Amino acid sequence: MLAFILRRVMQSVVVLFVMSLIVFSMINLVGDPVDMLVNPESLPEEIDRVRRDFGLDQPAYVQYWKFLTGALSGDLGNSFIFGRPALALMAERFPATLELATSALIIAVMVGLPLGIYAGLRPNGWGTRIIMGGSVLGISVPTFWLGLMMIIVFSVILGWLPVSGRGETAVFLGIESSLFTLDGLKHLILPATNLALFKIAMVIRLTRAGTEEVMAQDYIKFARAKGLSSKRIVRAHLLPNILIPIITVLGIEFGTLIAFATVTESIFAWPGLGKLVIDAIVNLDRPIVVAYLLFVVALFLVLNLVVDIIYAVLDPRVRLQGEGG
Amino acid sequence: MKHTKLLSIQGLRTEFPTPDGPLAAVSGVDLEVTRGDVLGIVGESGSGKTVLGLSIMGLVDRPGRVTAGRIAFDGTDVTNYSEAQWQGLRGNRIAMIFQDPTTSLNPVQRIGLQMIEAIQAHRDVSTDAARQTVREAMVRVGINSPDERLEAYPHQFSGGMRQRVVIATALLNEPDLIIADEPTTALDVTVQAQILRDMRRLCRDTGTALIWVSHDLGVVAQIALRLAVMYAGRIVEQGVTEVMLKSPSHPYTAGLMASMPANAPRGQRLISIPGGLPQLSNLPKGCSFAPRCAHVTTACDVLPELSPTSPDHAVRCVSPLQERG
Amino acid sequence: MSNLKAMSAVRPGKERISNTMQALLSKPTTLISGFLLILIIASAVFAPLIAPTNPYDLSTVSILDGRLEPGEEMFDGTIAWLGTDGAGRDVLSSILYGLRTSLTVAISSALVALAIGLSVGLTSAFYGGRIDAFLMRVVDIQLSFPAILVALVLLALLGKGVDKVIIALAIVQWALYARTVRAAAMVERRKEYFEAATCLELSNTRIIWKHLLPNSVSSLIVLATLQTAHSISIEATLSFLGVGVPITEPSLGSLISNGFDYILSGAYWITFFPGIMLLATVAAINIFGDQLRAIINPRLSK
Repeated sequence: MLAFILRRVMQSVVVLFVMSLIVFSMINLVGDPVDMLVNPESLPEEIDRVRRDFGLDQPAYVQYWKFLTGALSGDLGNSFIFGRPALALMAERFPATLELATSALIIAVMVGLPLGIYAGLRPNGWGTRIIMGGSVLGISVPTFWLGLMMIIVFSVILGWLPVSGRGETAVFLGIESSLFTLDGLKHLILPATNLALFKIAMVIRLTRAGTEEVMAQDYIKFARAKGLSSKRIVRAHLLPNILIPIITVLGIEFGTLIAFATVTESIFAWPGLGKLVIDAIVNLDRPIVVAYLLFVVALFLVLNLVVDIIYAVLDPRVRLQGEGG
Repeated sequence: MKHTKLLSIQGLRTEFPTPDGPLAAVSGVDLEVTRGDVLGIVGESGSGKTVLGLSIMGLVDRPGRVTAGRIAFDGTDVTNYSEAQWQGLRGNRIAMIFQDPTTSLNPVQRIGLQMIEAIQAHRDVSTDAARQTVREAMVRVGINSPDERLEAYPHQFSGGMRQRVVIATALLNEPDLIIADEPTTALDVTVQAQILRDMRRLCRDTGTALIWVSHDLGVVAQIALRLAVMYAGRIVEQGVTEVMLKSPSHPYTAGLMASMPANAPRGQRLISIPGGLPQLSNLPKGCSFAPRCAHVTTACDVLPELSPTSPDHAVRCVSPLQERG
Repeated sequence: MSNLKAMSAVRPGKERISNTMQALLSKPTTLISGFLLILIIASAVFAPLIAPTNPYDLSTVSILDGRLEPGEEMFDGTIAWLGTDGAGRDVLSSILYGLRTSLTVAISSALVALAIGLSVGLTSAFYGGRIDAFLMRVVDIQLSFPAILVALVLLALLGKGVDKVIIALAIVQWALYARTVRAAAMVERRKEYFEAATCLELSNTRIIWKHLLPNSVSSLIVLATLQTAHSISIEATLSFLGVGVPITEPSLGSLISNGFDYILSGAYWITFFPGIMLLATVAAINIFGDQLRAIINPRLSK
């Protein structure tokens, strides 16, 4: 097990290095690297001075080395707009995004899993047709447009929920989150649901496929031959067998949620990472973009690793390899 | 007073709907099993023998279903039992063993749990009491050190061991009848012989009736007291094993006998029955075996009834072999 | 019966196409979504002819027509069936033109991605070994990142413009095409006639084109359909965020973004109708693609 983890960590480090190389070369190839450090609208003398100061007249590999060492020590440049270190800005905003993505994931599972199991158990029923039809709509609907519609209906017309922003937070078990206040929840519902929508549809389809596949297995038939009730069969035999692949997919999809949060955050003015990045892209705040990129790559590598470990832990066939008969 | 007829089947017909009309996997089967009896059902794959076994347990996969006939278990008519009623019977008074032990067990659940749940589905006992019963059952089928094995997962067992677990599971609630569908086909030859011996002993010791379904006449002959030969969904001959083996009446039975490798004269080609199984959707009018029969006459254009030739023998043929002498 | 199937697998030809067509025409869902799809594509292609106005001809656009409700009459007498936006542009016409842009971008990027993916996939399958392992590793890594993210970052570096969006979307999609092609080609490769062909020393290109490629076609058609839907969505999202197509050539996403500012003042139609159009387009493609997949790859329809 340990060897497995170590090997994956090594692989991840390699990928991280490669990604940093790619990012670095792209910046240098696509534009003037000095744009990374100084607002392109500064005076030419300024720009030249910065160029010399930062050794941008030096050969590429020296520059890369500087970039790398800077990155490793947490210095990824200062934001043009905010004038503060990019990494610090990101660290500040990340919790809000994490909260949004986690809430969306929870909603997606709590809604999608039961619906998917139902659809899988009764493949030809009317309920299933409606569910599956809904799921196709779910993946076709443009999330951002739906978010706007949700605001129109729930905030403008009905006035039940606030239009935008994050609500008050409270601390529970050492974690600060808006999940713990009523005001926070009211602000969280719309964006979390909006973000979750696509995932719900995906979870439904995945769960349904998994359910159909598992129910066709011989061990389900044997379970029925033992006289077990349907409830028991679903709980003890169906669920564990579909959850393993679903959890692994969801783990990876969590990364997508964080990425997609950029859209939801823009619409609902949620003060998270996504909004920061979009503004940075539009305003050409390069240090933030680069920092975001590297951060996300690292995040995904970690996520992939964690998911692989979880899979190994959950599936006894993988966990107990080598002890078989 | 208990009826001596444990299982009584009359005119059983099981159909599967197809785009071209319903297909009868089992058409017009009459069978009887008494307590402690060992009945062998022999037929090639596609003869309907598996569907017959499933029909007796109410386990025919939707959309297939029993469309005609009557099944009586211990005097009670179970033909139209609801799923809930079936659940009370299955694993309790009638148990079933499938062919492939690898797929019969839930890969992500410990063996012990899978067996305990079989007990707790029918009896209100504590987990500890159930575990004790399971331990005893495992020892009875020849699994030593049951405590270790209880905590293991299916993939940690060998094929033979897995089948023993399956058999032990079937015996847990002391059923009156076990239906075993090709229980040794997926195992090594040496293991086959062991399992055969053990099952014979177990059924004798516990007085459990056994229906052994197989395509391998040689295997069935070693354990079954009575035989029923199936072809294209119908029983073509049934009687006492010894008698049928020595002097088969139906040409198909004779063909099966002759094609057994054990019966082949040394140094000569193995005999096989010419032709192949008919498509169930395209059965010939009259006797289904006629196209492959060496003794076919025009009289075979009419489907013969299963007619008794003696109190415990019946054959479905217009000119059975024994008559001609 | 199984012989027939085996035969048509070896020679994907006219017989299979007509079987597929028959199957397609049999279900109402397929017919409706297919019909809708044709309608949508036709509207996009013939937009300049059927749109009541040209919303980007500045000489015909007047601010006096701004924010008219659906059904109201514009200054020059044309009825704005779906209303007008803040600058006086007819929403219906904008939608038709926007649809055009959206579809052009999506289909172009799909074709480019297909070309790249096809080359990589076929090369990978044909040469196998280390080349295959390396290429597929690259594919895996790219696929582990969500499309929206890759597209965002690419556009941040490339800048604005329709061509840049097409490039970005193509880079986002090629990996999936490559993997699909390679999977289908690998199946062919393992068949015996492949060894025979190589023994005969037929030129590599010929083997690749005549033998490995045809089997991938069906999976590719399904993938291309569903991917097109996906890229329309992504492009719309990017344009909505302001990093996609420029304002001079708006797509449906830009139109929705445009309407965002008017929500609170009640002019819902500026955002609503472009969104409906987007939803209908993507849904039609998805439904049709699903049906296609169920017919062509019944085992893989999950």
